[in-house]
Amino acid sequence: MPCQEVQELLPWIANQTASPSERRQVFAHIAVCATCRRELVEVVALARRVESATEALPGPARAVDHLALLEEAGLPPLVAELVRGARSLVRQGVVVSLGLPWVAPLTVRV
Amino acid sequence: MDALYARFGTRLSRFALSLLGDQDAAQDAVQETFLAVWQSAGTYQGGSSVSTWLLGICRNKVRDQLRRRPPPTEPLNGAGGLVSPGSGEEAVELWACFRQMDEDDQELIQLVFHQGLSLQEVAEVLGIPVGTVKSRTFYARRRLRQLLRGGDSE
Ligand SMILES: [Zn+2]
Repeated sequence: MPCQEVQELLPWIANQTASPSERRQVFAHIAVCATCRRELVEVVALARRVESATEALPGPARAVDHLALLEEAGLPPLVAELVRGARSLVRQGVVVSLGLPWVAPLTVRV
Repeated sequence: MDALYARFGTRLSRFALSLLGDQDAAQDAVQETFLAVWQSAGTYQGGSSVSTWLLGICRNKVRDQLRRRPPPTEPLNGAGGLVSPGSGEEAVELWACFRQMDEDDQELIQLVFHQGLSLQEVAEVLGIPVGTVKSRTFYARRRLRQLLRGGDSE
């Protein structure tokens, strides 16, 4: 793998999402190339710096009642009913899933 | 919705805040994101992860906010009110440099280094090819490094 290609992949080595085969190729290259080795050190340092600065930012400024917000925006009545039902179940300590496509991977928990 | 917000609210807020530099605008962008999520209930394809899907929407809402707002009055090299109390000199310097990059570059740096998205996920969020993500990220981080070293441009 040429240096340019290796250096373009380094951000994903740093954030640990590169594929195993990309990692293998990059590390094989880095073992013999001091330039790319230095570059990796720099990318990792930059990644840490961006991450810690961003993590130091405040989170949401105020709590948001999304149900109220959505009702204000006009919920389809059936969906509003579903959400209200789910909420009351959640209040009772029951774990529910709304069964809506975009909620599918998630479950509402208390 | 509350579950989505509990899980991703803070993450999306920091993403929006880092790009907008303004807490009210960031909060608006995040609220509009969840509103859009609600209104498009059913358009989630399941192909991408939920976080990637949300970031894609949030990113568009951030763009809307940027388009809507008046031209900046503060000096370009300021940190833009982004620095929270207690954050050190390192962060102050980083944000000052970050603000000098163009919006596309800021977005890439955030998606890769803070949100920790894979190459494919960044491509998905931005709607551009993987090869373009690679080369653009290469130049974005070069630019940021240059700025942090005190240089004005490459
Ligand atoms: Zn090399």
